[in-house]
Amino acid sequence: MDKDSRALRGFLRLSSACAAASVSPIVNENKSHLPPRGARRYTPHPKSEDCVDFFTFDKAYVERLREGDPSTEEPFVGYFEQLLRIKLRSRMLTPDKVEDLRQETFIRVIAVVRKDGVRQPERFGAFVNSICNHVLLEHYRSSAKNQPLEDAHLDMPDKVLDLDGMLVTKQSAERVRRTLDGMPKRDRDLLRGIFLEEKEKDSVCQELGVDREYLRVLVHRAKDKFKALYEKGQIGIARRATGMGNQ
Amino acid sequence: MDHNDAIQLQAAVKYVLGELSQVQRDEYEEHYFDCAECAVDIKALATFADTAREVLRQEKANQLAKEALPARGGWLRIRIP
Repeated sequence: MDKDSRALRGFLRLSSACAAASVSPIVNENKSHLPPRGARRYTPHPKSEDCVDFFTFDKAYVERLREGDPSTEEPFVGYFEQLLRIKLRSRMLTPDKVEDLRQETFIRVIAVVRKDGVRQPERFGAFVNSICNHVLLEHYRSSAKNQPLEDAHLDMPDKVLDLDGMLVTKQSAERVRRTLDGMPKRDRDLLRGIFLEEKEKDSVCQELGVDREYLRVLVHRAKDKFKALYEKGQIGIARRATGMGNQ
Repeated sequence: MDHNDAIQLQAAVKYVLGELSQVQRDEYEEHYFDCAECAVDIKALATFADTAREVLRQEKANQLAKEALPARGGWLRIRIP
């Protein structure tokens, strides 16, 4: 068995690392580095928001990842899956394509870590980002060959990030409701115009008599309030996961 | 882009609102993949934006459903507890 095969087999163990992860068959073809047809692939845990991500990147961490330590692989996937999804969705790709490219990034990261290692382990996050950039670039190139002008490739500035409900869980919905309930009607209308009705930001601001800076501050404050509730949940989960909650 | 640059630029909010230039976006991505604080920030913001959309959509649907009900005393009232 060659090194790449071992890397892929090791990566596939990530699937079983997340106990409740579901599986689906590979649909992407013409990629020799992907697992064979019928192989199983990692699909995010439906409650991926709840994955624990309190750890640091260093040489020992990368070494554990290289060795296929499940207790390192699981938080690795938990930490990066949402970041990769956010990044890929900002390119206005379809949800299916986002998942394909995210999966591809994970596979390549693991393959490189096992084959060549990482030169700057403390900058492991930047390394994952650069692998994702390569994957994106290749996707653009291959799509350009097949489709001269694909809308998905166009850089669309001034478009609010839309994750198609990918990150919504019952818990986060409750936290957002609590955040929205504490807002004046105008602020809720502003967020409705931007996030739901996807109106032009300038025209929504004008309608409600505010400027773009007000919108930014509003979103920033809403995020802070939501984040406080979000982090409280994350810390509770981390304590449960590490057994600290029993102490 | 370092952490102070990201804070001063309000990069997280602008990223989610689609207000960064392509260069700024790429620099910010390189930063938040490497900065635990900004990673939590961008995750919280993206989750908030995504969830707010769903919550507001649900509210609108509930509102429309309410408006679609017949006036009090209509024949459908018999069927609705």
